[in-house]
Amino acid sequence: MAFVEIYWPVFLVALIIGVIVGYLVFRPRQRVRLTDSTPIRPHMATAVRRSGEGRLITDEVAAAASDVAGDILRVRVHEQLPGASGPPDDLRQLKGVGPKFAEMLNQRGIIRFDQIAKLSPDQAESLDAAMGAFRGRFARDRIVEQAQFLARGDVDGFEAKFGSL
Amino acid sequence: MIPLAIEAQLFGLTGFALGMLFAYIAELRRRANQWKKEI
Repeated sequence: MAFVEIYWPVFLVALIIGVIVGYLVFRPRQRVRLTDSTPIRPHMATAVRRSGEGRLITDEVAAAASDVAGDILRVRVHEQLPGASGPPDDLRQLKGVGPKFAEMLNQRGIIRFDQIAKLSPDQAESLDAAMGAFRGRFARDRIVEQAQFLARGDVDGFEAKFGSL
Repeated sequence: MIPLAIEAQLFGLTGFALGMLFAYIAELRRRANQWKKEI
């Protein structure tokens, strides 16, 4: 092991160069994430589409036909999510809602607390079912209840029940 | 017996490889943490 004693500086220098080169090779670069849906920017809030239905005459006819069919079959054929009525809120203020979850809600047209607050238990359940990895959060974190406080602007009530904002 | 100069080169190369490995592991850990933060 005599050469270790002689050449340890070589090893050290090579190690440092290795770390530097490794960093340059593996460092994070700008990444482009491709999604099927366009992200919702604040200025687009009022233009959020509430359902996936088209607006052409054939789409209207198809929607009318499914309305009638749904009425006969007694099933809900259209999304009945309450629409946005103002500027978007930061949904991440809700306990249990992170950036990803908020983005998923935004993609479904939910951008304000009052939209969540107005959800019926049925609607909350069907929305929850569509939340993929976050399924069950609505019930677990009582998100509708939280949203009702924040929609009213009752921050004190919210903080008393769910902790500080 | 490998000549001393060659040994030194191998030694250096090992150090370089280890350095690359450290940098790779560090980047993997950083990404894992970032992913956790996003969720």
